[in-house]
Parts: sequence; C-alpha cells; structure tokens
Amino acid sequence: MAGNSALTTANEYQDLLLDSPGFPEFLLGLATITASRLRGDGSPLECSITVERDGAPSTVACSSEEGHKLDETQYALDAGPCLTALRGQRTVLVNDFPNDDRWGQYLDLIAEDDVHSVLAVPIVTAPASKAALNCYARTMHAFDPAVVVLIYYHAASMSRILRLALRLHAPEVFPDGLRAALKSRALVDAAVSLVMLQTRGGRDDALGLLQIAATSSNRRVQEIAREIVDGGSFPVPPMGRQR
Amino acid sequence: MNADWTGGPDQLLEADEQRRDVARRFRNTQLPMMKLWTYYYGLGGDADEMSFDAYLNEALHLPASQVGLIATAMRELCEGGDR
Repeated sequence: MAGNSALTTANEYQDLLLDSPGFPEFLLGLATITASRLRGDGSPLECSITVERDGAPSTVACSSEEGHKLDETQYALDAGPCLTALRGQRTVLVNDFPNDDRWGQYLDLIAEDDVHSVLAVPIVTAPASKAALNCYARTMHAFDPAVVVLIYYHAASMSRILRLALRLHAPEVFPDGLRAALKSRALVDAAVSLVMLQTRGGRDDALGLLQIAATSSNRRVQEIAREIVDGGSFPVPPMGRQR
Repeated sequence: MNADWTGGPDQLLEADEQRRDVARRFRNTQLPMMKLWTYYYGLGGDADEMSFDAYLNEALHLPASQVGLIATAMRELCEGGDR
C-alpha cells in the first residue's frame, strides 16, 4: 500500500468519525467504505463490523440488508464464524460454506442466502472491547491469499479510528435524564448570561425573565433560552426594570 | 441557598402559603423527588437536593426565584417537558 493511499484512508475515517452523530452510524459508514474498497475488482462482496463492549450492547453494522440478516442469525444462535473470530480474536476462513461442517445449525438457517465464502478477522481495539471485520461472498473460495492480505490490511487500518470512536462514543455514563438536564442547564446558563449582559441585571432577575417569557407564551424555558442564544429574540424586561 | 428568612411577618405568611400550595401540587403530581430536582437543575436551579426536599416537605424556605423555578419545573414536567 502506498503511503498516500494510507493517508487518504486515515483522512476518510476521520471525516466519517467527525460526521457521524453516534457510534452505530460511524460503524455503518466504516462497513460501507470497506465493502466498496474491497469490491474494487467488481466481485460482489458484503462487509460487516461487529463490536462488543463490556457493559454495553453489541453493535453490528453491515453494508447490506442481506449481510445484516447473516449477522443477526449468528447472534440469535450465539454461534457462527464472525462471533468465533470476534470472541476468540482469531481469523476464521470458510471457503465452501454448505460443505463446512463446523457451523451446524447456522448453515441450515442461512441456506437460502447463497453465501459460500466467509472471512472474519479480528480488529485490535481497547482492552474492554472486541471487534471483528466480516466479509461475505457468493462464490466459493472467494478469498484467495491476495484478498486475505488485503482484508487483513483493512482490519489493521481501522484499528486506530475504531479505538478513537469507542472512546468518543463511550457507553452513556449518565442516564438519559441527567444528560438532558446538563444540556438544558448549559443552554439556560448561556441565555441567562446574555440577558444579564443586556439588562445589566442580576441572575435571579434574568431567570425570572426567562420564566415569564415561557409562561406568557405557553412554551418551555428551554425553548426561550434557545431563541435567546441563537440571537432570534430577547424577552422584554417588565416595566420599571430599565435603568 | 439555605436562605435564612429575611422578609417581614406578612411576607412569611405569604411564603408559607405559597410553599403549602407548591408542596401540595408536588404530592399530586407523584413525580419522584430526584427527577424533579434534576429537571429544576436543568432550568438553572441552584438549591441543593436536601434543601429542595426540605422545601417540598414544608420544613425550609427558599428564595422566591428558586420557588418560581420549582413551580416551572413541575409545570413543564407535567406537560411532558422531559422529552
């Protein structure tokens, strides 16, 4: 791999992380990018990325609906090539799925999906989490040594960005209510500061103005605060308060 | 925020009455105390949870500005304000 190509990939991963609102969206983007890269020669191939974190639900993202079903079936059975790769952190290669006797019941359930080759490789992440890149193809022996090397390369190249994403999107430390309260408080504090500056008044008066504005227009304090912060409107102080 | 009372006797009577009203409404809403405090904090409330609890149990007075925020928090939560 040329240095430039590695740099482009790293930049693309970073943009993806910055543009993704949450971890599942990021993972989906990563799976989609990887599938389109690996499909370079035109052969149909789907990718999924599976992440398990201590104390958080697993996240699975897949470049297609079909692949999504293959992953879900493994989770339903709690067994399959990708879960083996993920939990054992080792590579699993299946060249001829219908004639591979390692996967028993899983094979029966996915028989109609026409998947013949699977390659699942671990992705190195943080100690408290495990990840794997899974590739599915319809042809037998789809993953020759050259393709396997390429997939290894992709799995290795996403290790760093995945660790960053796991850190950025750590499982919620605060329950939803507390997070909402923190956001609301930050917004109200910002609005109060602006009102104080505008009226050269105290904090209590500014809070009072916000409440009066909310009550009189039958809206929530947060909405009034948002408008003030966005510069859209400003509650008029009651008569007699102006200096 | 555990304000000592500084108003006159008339204002104290009025504040008592207001507090009784807020406490009664709080009981009627059946909101968990912690949930109401958290929401009140989000609106800019400054009283600690213990003073807040004491106020709603009519054992302590809070400054009028905080009382207004408690009333607003109850109103918004009852309207589904914690969306």
